[in-house]
Amino acid sequence: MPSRDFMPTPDPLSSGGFQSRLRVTATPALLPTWLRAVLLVAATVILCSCRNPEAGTRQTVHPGAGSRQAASNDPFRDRDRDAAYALMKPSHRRPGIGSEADHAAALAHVNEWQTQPASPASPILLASAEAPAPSGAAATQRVPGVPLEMPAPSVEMLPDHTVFHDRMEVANAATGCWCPGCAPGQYKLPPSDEVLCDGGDDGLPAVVIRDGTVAGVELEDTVAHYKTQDGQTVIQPTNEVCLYAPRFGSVRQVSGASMNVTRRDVQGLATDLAPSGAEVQREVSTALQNVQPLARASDRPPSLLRNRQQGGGLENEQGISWATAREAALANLQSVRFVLIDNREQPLEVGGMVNAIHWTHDLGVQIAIGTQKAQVVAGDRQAALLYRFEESPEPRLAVCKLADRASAHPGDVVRFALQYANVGNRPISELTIIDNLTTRLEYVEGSQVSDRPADFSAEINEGGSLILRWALPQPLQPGERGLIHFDCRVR
Amino acid sequence: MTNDHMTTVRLSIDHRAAGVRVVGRVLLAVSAVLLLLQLLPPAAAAQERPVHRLYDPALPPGAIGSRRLIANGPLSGFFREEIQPVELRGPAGLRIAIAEEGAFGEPLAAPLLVGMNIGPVYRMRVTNIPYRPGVEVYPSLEVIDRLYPPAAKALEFPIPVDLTEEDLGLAANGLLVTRVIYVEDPQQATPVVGDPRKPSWLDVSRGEDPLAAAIHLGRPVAILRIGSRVPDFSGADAACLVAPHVTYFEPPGGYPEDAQP
Repeated sequence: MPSRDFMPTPDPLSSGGFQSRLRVTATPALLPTWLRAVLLVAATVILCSCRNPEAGTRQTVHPGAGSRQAASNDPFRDRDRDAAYALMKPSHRRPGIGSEADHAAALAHVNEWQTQPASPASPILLASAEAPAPSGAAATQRVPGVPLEMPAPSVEMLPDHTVFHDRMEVANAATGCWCPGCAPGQYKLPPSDEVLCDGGDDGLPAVVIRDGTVAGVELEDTVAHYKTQDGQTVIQPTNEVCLYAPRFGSVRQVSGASMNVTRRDVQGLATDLAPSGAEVQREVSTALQNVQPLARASDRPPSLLRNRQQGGGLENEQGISWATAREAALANLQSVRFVLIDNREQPLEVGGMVNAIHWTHDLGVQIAIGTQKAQVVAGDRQAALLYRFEESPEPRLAVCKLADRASAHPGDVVRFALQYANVGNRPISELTIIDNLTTRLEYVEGSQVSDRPADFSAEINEGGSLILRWALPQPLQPGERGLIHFDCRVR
Repeated sequence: MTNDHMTTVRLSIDHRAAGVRVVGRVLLAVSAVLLLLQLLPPAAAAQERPVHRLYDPALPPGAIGSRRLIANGPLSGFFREEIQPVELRGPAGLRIAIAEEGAFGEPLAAPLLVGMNIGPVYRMRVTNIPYRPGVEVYPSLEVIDRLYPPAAKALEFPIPVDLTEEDLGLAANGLLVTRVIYVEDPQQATPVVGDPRKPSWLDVSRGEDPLAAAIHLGRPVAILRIGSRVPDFSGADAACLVAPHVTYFEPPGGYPEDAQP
């Protein structure tokens, strides 16, 4: 029992003080001190932790998917948001090599590469029959199921889509993914259950462990890792390629004789509720349904729609209107037409003169070494000008993943290509490209081809598909590039 | 026993320390309760059934699709005048007549590629069932969600609705067959090669909710109910024939040769 000894102070009024000890027994505590401290710490941890009440009832399949599943109670909204994330997701950028400018430069390099004519050494020409049309053509294209004039997007109408619009443009340009009805200001994203995506580095970021193994490459991930001259290991994910390939299933329930009784009950209820039901159906079947321009558009086969897009008259119209407008700006001036000076036209004339000077005047000598502008380190007071050009070591790898089609049915064979290039200024070595195929993509045995020597291996992954791995024994010099392609059957 | 000394003991009570002690005990009790609640299994979660808040199997046909139009989700921006391509498939020789504007239309050979609205219930009369001459069944189809195909690919990727010979036979024997067609979630897909002409399906027992099962496997897009009760169009069933106009399409690649009778 806990007790405390109190030593009373001597009473100065008493004679000579005393030495008696008073023993006072305190109230016993319910729990030991250490247990109370433990309880307080546990409660603090519980209160401070942001626990999702549904986390324990949901099964986490994928690190990324698990977090999506616990987002809300509406799976449709979650999947729609998933689609936004899936299609907009740029490749994971590593510090130092993943800035927007670097990404844009790499894309420009790859785009320039793609526009080059295919050489006999690279037999495949990836492409493009189903690639998204240019923006000008898309504006005049009539898509079944999508009205020609969509209302202006609003937050209420497109809950989670417009936020990512700008980034989606970049993602589409990088991945080649389409977005249905994709036009500035309007587009719809397919839910992630209708598309098969492969590439990128979703979920946990990939890392190279000391023994050379790579961790964090989950299903659908495609990454490349290499070593720089100073011994650093760098991981570069590819872009994400998405195919529209929905796979359907059904759940059947057969009700027996006992359910016939239930059906009669339901029928009786339906009779009671007939006015409300009929009202809803009339709303759909009235003039709104009968006058539907979209249905007329859908009646026409796609071939007719394509023919309508190919009219060259549109281009001519644009060119003529533009040229007329430019001439009118100068030809209507009084000083030009009638050689009369009008003070009201002086601002326009002065502006035109300044423009002419800007177009004709050389403000100075620009010196560039290679593609980099040189800096003046010495003034012009000396006899000669000294320019200095510094080149910083920037090993960089661009990896682009492409698919030869944008949509596929189960059973179709899709050809994927992995294009890689050393876009830095230092050689890289021990380049390895890893593609962890998603469950619904089945690698066609013996279909992989690499235009550079590469050690290919495959192993089964957790999704019932394969992890494809290409290890390049030779270093990749700056400016060098390579191409790998392989076929997959859509399950 | 006598005391020789009188001792005065002054005991001062520290009210602030007492207050702290009371607060500490309250915190201790709260901590114990919180810890206990965390250790116990959540009773509500254990009893929660995997059903969707919008779905209920007891709802009459048409209610689910109408609710989907109201709910905010991927159907945002999908207007009522837009149509969702649906492919009605069945055994060779099957004839399907879809009711629209008060009467059944002309019986056409399966498969049919039609455009339907999301929400209303489309009634059909199926005849020429293999090995069952003269037997008619009356399926109803309710499209409850849409697809998002690429531009100009809508007709290549319709919602497949299979009127299998087995289901038609069960319905002809007086049973009610309910099929919930869903888009499979790729994250939960099985690593088998699928056949677009024969989608996979599974059975649920009578006590289970097929909608909930379909939601666990993917996203439901249509509900097919096949029964054999002959509707009384002169009575209460007359409203069943009120359905929007159906748009018939020719498949982009044409039908396979073995699909036509």
